[in-house]
Amino acid sequence: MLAVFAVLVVAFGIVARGDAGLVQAGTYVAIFAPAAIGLSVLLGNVNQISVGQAGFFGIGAYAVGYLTVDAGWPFWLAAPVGIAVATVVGVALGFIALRFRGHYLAMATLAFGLITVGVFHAAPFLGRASGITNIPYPQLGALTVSGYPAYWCAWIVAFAAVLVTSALLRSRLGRAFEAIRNDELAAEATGVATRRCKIIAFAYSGALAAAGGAMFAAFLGLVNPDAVGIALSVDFLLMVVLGGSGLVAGALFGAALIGFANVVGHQYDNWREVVYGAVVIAFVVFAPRGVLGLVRGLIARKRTPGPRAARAGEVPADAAAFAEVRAPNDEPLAVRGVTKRFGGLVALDGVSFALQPGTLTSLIGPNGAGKTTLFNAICGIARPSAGRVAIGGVDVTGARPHRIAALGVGRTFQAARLFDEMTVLENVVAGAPRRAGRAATGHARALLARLELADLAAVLAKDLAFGDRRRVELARAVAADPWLLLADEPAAGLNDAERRRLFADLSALRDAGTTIVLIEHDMRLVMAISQRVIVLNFGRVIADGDPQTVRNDPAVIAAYLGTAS
Amino acid sequence: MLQLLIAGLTVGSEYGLIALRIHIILRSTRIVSFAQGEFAIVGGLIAYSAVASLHVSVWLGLIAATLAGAVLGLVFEALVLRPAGRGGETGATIATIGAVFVLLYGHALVPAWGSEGHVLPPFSGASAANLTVANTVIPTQSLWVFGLLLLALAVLYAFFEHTYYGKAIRAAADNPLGARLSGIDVRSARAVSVALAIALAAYGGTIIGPITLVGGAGGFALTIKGFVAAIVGGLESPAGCVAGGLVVGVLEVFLTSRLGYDVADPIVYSVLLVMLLLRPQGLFGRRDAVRD
Amino acid sequence: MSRSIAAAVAAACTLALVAGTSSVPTAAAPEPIKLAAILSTSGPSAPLGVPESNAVKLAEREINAHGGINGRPVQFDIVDDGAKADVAAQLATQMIASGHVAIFCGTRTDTSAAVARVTGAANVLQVYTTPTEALWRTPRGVVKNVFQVNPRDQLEAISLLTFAKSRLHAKSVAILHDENLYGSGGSAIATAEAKSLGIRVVGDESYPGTATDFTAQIVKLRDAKPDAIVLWGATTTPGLAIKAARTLGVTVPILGSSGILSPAILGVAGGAAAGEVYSASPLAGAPSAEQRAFAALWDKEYHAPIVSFAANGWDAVQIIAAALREAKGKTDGASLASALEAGKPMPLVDGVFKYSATDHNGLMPADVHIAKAVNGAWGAP
Repeated sequence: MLAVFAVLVVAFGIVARGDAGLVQAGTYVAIFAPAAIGLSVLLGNVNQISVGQAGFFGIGAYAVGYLTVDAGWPFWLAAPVGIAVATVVGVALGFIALRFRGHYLAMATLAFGLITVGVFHAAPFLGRASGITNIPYPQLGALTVSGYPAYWCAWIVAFAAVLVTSALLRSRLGRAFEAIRNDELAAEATGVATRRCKIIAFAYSGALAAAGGAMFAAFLGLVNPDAVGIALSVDFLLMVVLGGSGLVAGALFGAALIGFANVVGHQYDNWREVVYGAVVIAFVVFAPRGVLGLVRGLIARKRTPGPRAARAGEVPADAAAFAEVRAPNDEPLAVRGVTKRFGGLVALDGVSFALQPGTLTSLIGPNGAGKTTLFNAICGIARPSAGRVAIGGVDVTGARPHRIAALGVGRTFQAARLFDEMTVLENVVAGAPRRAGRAATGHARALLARLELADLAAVLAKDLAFGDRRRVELARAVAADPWLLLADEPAAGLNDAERRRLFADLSALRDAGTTIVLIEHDMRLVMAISQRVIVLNFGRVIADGDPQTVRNDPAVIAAYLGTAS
Repeated sequence: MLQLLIAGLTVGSEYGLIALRIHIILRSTRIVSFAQGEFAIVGGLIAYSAVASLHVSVWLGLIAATLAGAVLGLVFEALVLRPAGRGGETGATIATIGAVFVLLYGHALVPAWGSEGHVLPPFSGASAANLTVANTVIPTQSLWVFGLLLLALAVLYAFFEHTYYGKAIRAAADNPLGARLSGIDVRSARAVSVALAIALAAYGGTIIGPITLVGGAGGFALTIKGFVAAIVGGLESPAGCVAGGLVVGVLEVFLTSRLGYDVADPIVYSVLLVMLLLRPQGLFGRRDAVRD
Repeated sequence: MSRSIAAAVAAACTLALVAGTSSVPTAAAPEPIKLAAILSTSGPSAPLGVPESNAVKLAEREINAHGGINGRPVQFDIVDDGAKADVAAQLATQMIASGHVAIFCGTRTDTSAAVARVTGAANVLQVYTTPTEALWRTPRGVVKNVFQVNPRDQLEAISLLTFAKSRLHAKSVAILHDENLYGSGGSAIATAEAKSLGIRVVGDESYPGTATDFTAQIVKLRDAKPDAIVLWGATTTPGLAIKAARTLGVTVPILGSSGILSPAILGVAGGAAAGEVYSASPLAGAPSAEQRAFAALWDKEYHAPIVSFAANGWDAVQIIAAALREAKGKTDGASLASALEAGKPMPLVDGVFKYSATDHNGLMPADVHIAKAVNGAWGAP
């Protein structure tokens, strides 16, 4: 699709050469496009709504204005300064934005946009309400970049933005973005540093917007607070949403749409805006994923993953065994005195145990005993109120989940958290973010074959049957060959045949050296394959030993097992 | 100074009302609506038309505006919020931005309204004197604003807490599925909530009319202040929203008097950001209302 | 499939734009002179742009009723820039590309400046009606193709402050102004004028265009105890400021720029309760013959008294017309500009315009008079 756009831009430039008005309109589309692309990355790929994009645009514009007019710098030096400042500010905003979600994030970015306008308005060296005027056109040697040359210049910059962004989205970072957009928690569990990614997204989108702003200032010849206010932020948002968010082509299309809409119909003043508003509403109602989003939905039911699609011939004939792994020391997991309080509720109370490498331990207990909370405390999702957790000898108490995952820990969740918009194969590939390219895909296919999921490889995760979801999640969890696996009720909802299969797989994993902790309710199977059983009740360990002993422990029977087994 | 306080509370009442409307719509439809200030302006203009063209008293104008607001709210919910809400909350919010354009520029198209502001007669009559207490002037209209605001709040409170229909609406907002299962018509509950919110907007725009003007392009700026108020007071708490409005109004007036408008404005927005960082649930909201 | 959809849509957009920008030539001979007006008739500047636009329509009709210019009718295409500078620049490019030979832009300084860049490069005459002279008087000299049709801030400031000093015996003033370009610029110039007249400036406060409360600003200014307050704003918001000032017990005279000279503002300010208010404007004082004629014409068409923006719009059209007549057939910017610079005095509504190569404003302090608010209407001081 991007190639089509490139062709269109070139064709337009040649065809419209004689019409200065069209050329100028096209130039403005190129000027606004980078900011729209940046916002598209934020909104569509990392799911962070920003109503403050014009703030970054303004930083770029004012930087160029101030440096070229007051300090006499050439445009080509001033623009990068603006971009650099915007990037730094973007990092700061990214940090701030980490704390918010949904409406609150929108509010925070709105506040950012308002504050930047306020600063532009109040700063005496930025011209206050008048802003900066008489900004000169950029000079390329003897050529003044205005009019027709400006069209090409602006589009070169815009397409550079397109190419860089496309490359970014196809890279590991891009896949991390996609994981975050689908399910942030699961992304963390697969080793994606979600916070860092979000900050990078903000900084990148800010830099792009500033590039556009720099061009704007030089091309229009002036900049003032009115030109870079909330109205412009709203425009960018409309470009992205109406064009199709998450797609670079969508942002381009939206920029073109709004850019051209901006210059038609001006004989009708107020009516024009009323129609505009009505059209916006119509778009949202009838094409909520944007025009190109609609189109994309139609064509992309089954996508091939990665830069080089793996063909059927790569499925190995012999479904390989699980990779051999070793725990780094003889205490793959050590939990000491872990306590977790939620307000007045004590969910975990002084839980302590240490696992032997290559063993399968089951964690059982009545509902509400704190089992999942314990998993969360181990994985870094919840910070213990007291006590310490050590994984492979490394103290990970309170560390971020992705760091713990990176140590070699895999986790499945009580309600399977898959990346719904990705295929099964992509989900498994995402489980091992360190691997790249062909190796990652090949390994994932082998894994799927091993788990008898190969025929589902191209199905979107959200279309999976319930039982298949849990198995795919398990596949994803072991994709990176973890030496510690925490599985939270992996058998829930599976039928008998699937259960037997599951536990065979778990046994095989254990035999390959993985240390496994299982939360389960199915007693027969727990007893059958566990080497050790830990029983929790009301947040405390009430029994810890081999299955037979635990099963006959009167306290356990009283708390949990009830009558005959 | 007391004078500044009175001014701040008057302005703050308007912000508080906007914040309250944001809250009502958010709670009943889960959509953040940016089309707040415009409805207030349109309401005020309707009252103005009633007074100027039909020569009725300004009280009748107030009632007319409120009723018209309710009707507008039903239309808004049916034409914009409901269809757009199917596509997700972000999309719905964008749709409300579209509605802002329609209202903001559309009201200027009505021949009697135009783009300028119009004067609404004060509620106590044109020649009512203002109170002067201890060197502080309290405009009578300000008293009307407070009084009518409290009246509106009392009515809303009674409605939501003590009538069946009001409680049904709250149930529908908090748990649509459960409400449906209990036999509550969620769709009409939502429609009524939105109608209430917009009626409140028209009401608010009219009572503040004699002090400011009705009409003009200031709707969006008002909306933003309303959002600041809602965040400061607590987006999820109705009392918080109103209180937040008063706080923001007073803060704005005091900051302007110390630092001048130029500097005070970005500071108010910075306060918003700081509030979001330190206490996102607002001064009066509960902690669990905000994840993360 | 998606590619062709995208291509088709983009092509449709392009076609629509081309269709929208090409104008339909009138069938009649002689061919009309195409002129453009890029004004802000929607959005925050609409209260200024709408009267300007109406004045343009009226002037166009009158000129054509009297035989047009050099035997040809004029055709004024009025478009709305919505107070956006980049839109104005694009509209200007379109207009020039489709054969419009002179542009009236516009209502705001930023839109006018953006358009000036385009008209300068294209050698097209531009007239604008904001009070900032910076668009034609730059450090690098006079901009040849740009002419101002408005008593500059300087003239109004001189008029107001001289009046304050000599008639009101004010030794100190405080300034209250719109926070936008117009108000901030005017405030700066008023401050400079006051200082040069030896009047102390004891306070300077601003308010946003959407302001509903002025208590903070007025209390601060009141406490500085000025002998008079200078008010620099336009549309109805300054009226509210006056009302607030009187409510809060400020009794000193208020001196306003021409932006407040409209009866509507006095109504907003509370009629007689507005107290002692003055305004400096070409429309103040005893009306000239041109002003009376224009007021009659305006009233007949729009049933309303004139406002400064209407006068500006009318004068702008007349000046373009005068340039076209003087240039005798030439329509490029340099020729039209030289025609104006020749300095033939043009008595218009705002005063007698006499341009020169160094003065593209054309008005003198004598063109600005003081009006006083008396019982809710403007009259002589």
